[in-house]
Amino acid sequence: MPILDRPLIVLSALVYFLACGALGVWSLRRTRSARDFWVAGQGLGVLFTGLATMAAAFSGFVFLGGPGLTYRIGLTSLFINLSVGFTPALLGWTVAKRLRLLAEVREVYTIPDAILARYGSRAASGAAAVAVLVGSVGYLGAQLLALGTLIEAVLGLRASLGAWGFPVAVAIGLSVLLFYGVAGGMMAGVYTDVFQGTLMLLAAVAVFCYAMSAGGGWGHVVHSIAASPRFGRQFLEPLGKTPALTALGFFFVFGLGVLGQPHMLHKFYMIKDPRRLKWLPLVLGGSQVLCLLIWLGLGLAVPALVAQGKLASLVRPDDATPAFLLGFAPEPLAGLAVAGILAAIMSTADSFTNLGAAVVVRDLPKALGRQLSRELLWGRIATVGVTLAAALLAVFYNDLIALLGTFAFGTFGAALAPSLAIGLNWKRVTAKAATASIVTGTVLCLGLEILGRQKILPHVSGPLPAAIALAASFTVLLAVTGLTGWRRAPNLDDDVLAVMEA
Amino acid sequence: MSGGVVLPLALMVLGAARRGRLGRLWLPLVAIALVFAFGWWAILALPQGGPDVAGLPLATALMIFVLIPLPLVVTGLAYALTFDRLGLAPEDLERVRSARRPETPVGGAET
Repeated sequence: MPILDRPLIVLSALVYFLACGALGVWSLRRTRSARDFWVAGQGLGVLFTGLATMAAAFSGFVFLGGPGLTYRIGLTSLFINLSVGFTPALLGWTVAKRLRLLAEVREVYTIPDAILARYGSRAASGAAAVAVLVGSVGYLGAQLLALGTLIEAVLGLRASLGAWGFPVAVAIGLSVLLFYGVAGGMMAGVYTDVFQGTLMLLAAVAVFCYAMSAGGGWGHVVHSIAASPRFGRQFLEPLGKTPALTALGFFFVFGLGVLGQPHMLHKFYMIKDPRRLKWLPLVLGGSQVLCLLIWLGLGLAVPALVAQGKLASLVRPDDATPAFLLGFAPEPLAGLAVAGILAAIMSTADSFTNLGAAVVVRDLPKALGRQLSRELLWGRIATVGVTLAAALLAVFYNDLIALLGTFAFGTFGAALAPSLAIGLNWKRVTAKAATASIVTGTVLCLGLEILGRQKILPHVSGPLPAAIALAASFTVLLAVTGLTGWRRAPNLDDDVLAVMEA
Repeated sequence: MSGGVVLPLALMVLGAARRGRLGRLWLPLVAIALVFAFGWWAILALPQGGPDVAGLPLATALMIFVLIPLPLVVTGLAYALTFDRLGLAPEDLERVRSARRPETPVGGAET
């Protein structure tokens, strides 16, 4: 249906961008120090911190990639979400308190900052900065893939431009992201994340309810899928259409990799009083579960509608969400959902433009023992560079949003999870062990992904490169700690020691 | 598989333990371990996911209706209810704040 026939969708997108712009200007006026800029002045309550963390964590991956992956592999895709039940508390116990307390005693604004404070090693901090840069390109690539898919569907570019439709849609998405990242995203920061998180929750719950109703109710939806020759009962089985190793790989990567996600961990610095972390797991986990309703709702309703003959088979699985919204949802709901999806994409993208700029402006110069002049200029150049690299990745990746998102999530997890989750809680972990673990995780994840995609290692695909890299980086951390720190624990500064013993 | 289940639990214990002790936290952590052990057994052992429950194979229904919400509530409440004693007591926070280096410009440089 031509876009002009559905003006509410365009209007909702415009209202969304205007609201984000207004919040950006408002928060810019409140920004007076580096602490205000990088960690929102450490002034957030637990509700805002939880919502901002959820908004940064959940992206186009959840809203478009999840239903797309489910369309391809069935409910095996839920192994990605299975760990949501325990990861909020895992984050709380292992990293949230220690990171927030580090920010209490040191000038710590980024994850490489925390690694520098804990290990006192510029090599470890520099390796972490490089890992953040590599993962940021992957994650921004997934956001551009999602944005391109949404824009291509909403503007009907595939019908009018054929094979050029998607690259043109990505180019439009790139312009939006660049404008947002360079002009607005950096200043908008966490307050837009809170607004966007709320929007995402509303959209996810509303779309879930309507999707179930459009498919004829829960019972009819699952019955249609099970009875259909195209999908069958296998679609609904946990290991129906995918090897067990792939499913377990998803669980492993998302269950442990969460401990190394800089866009989430960064939010823990922002909470005003460290003792308010008490309720963070319940707030974060509750909002994540509500948001995941869109994954489950569209993951089931779209195949059910195809099985019922109400929707044509999808050419690309990632079209599941746009196909439902444009074909079935009433205009106000489609408008809310498009705004919610934009919020999901932009809230994650602005976290990564922020983190990418921080790597270039703060983390790498610090690791090299230098200080940059003209930080703002270099920050903007870094934003443009990272976003352009991400756009190239989006155009040439040629696979599902969820798989690119898994690679990026896995890179962060493999590189950073061991040195943070174990290193912040076990004094014997040495700087050498942390550096070796970070380098192993980054190189292995990137290397295996490339070898798998080039068909040199054809069986290493999906979540497996990240799972192997994550297991290897944990092993390397423990092995090198055994070799270098077992007999004599490394000397830690008194303030870091106080943080680790708190 | 065991790494995917045991390692998160081991990390929870590592992060939650104070001076080598878990206090009352052992109970929810053991409960979660048992729930996951049963859930994984159902997922891996039941042929075709087992009999239908609410239109879904039993193992899938367990994933959606038990293995996600139950650990969220149990671990979330366990974290909150033990936070004052095992997480961060006011005196712990004071001890950390008093260890702050005098030269550290907490609050950030003015821009």
